[in-house]
Amino acid sequence: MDKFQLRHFDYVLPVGTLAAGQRIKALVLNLDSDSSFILRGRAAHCQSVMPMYAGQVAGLNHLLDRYTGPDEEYLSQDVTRFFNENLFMGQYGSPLPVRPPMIYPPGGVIVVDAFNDGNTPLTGLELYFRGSKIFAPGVLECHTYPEKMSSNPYIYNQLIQALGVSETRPNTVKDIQPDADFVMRAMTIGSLNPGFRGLSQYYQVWVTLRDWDGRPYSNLPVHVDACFGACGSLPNDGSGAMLASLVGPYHPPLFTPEIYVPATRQLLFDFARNDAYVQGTAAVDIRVAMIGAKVYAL
Amino acid sequence: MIYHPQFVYRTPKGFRDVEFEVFYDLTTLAALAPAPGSKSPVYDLPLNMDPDAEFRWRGVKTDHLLSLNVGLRFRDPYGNYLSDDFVPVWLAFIPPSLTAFTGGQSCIHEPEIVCPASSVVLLDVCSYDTVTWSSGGLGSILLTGVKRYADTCCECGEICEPAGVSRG
Repeated sequence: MDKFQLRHFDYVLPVGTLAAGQRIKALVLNLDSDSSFILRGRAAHCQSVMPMYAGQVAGLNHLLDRYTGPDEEYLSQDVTRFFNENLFMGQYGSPLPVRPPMIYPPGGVIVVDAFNDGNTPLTGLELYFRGSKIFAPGVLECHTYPEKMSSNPYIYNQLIQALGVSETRPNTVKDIQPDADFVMRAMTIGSLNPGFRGLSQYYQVWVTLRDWDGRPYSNLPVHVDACFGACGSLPNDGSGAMLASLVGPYHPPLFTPEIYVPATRQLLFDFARNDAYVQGTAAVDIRVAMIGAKVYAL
Repeated sequence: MIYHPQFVYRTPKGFRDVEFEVFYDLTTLAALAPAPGSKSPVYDLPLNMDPDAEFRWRGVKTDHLLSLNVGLRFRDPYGNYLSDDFVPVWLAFIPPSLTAFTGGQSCIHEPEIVCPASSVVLLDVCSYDTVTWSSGGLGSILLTGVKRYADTCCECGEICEPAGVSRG
């Protein structure tokens, strides 16, 4: 193919509960048939009740896995400990890189073996495969930089106010201003001073980002801390040193490739929260920062 | 311009870039120790550029140990807002390690913003907090980037800084 269009995409493989000592073989993630997929990075996430962690690490150090490449051959002889390869399990939008990236065919599969060698179950385990879809020209609208242009750094904000403990809130619309196109290169999501004020703590919050045509950037909702965490649900009151120098706003979750949104178009968000399993949780304000640049045609 | 290494900009021939940081201390800004729930914003805090050279602004760091539930909104020297609202520091401006100024990278923006000598970047600050801060104020703001000096040949035949110019 001489020309192609890339589009950021996250595939989620929901594993469910992986009991202590349990090994699951040949879980199948079916890839969409509309395009090929470049796998660039991986992450893992599971449910937690530990305040301030929101499932980022707790227990996941006992996750071992392996997966198949485009030829459906496993890429390791046996399952390996994810934690040994990436301290934060590829979360906070900093996935464990797949080097070199691999291209899966349309309608292909990624087959996964997973093993929990710990003493506690991994509840709500999700495996993430982050990369780009490859489309033939003409399938999608093609928007990109004008031939003559200037740009200025810019951040759009969105507030998801008082998201309930077990609420699903679809179709939050972010309008792009009419004066310029917007190229979104990163996105961070988190609550107001999480962990510091009791009412701002969240654990399990997912988002589906969609373009102005409603076309999603993931096959299923993605956990906000796994894919777009900055400080996420970790405390930023100065007391917490859990967030090491590897992740954080200075190293924001990037889109590959960036998402180019023409002026006056929209980005859509579907949020969902399931924190009913944690006692004492309440409605929480979720804030989104869309980081990129305005693009002005000259 | 899409995926080039951050902070790798060419210095044009005849110029010299010197790493530089613009520092603004917010710890004495008592007005930003709001009453519970007030969220009182403070507008148009001036971050003044030095008069000796243009400043090429490439990133931001905040001293988040003090700046708790704070939102920032910058305006460049040309009057352009850099966000559509206040941006929570914990989503966009906290440097590595959750400790103050640990020497890590700043939070970069793309592209750089050229701030002319003696120009002013304006900063609006708000608090999202609902309780009175015990610290009584914010932390500090660092704008990171480089100063760009024009090289000139002086009488000695070498490349020297223009007369009267110091690196601030």
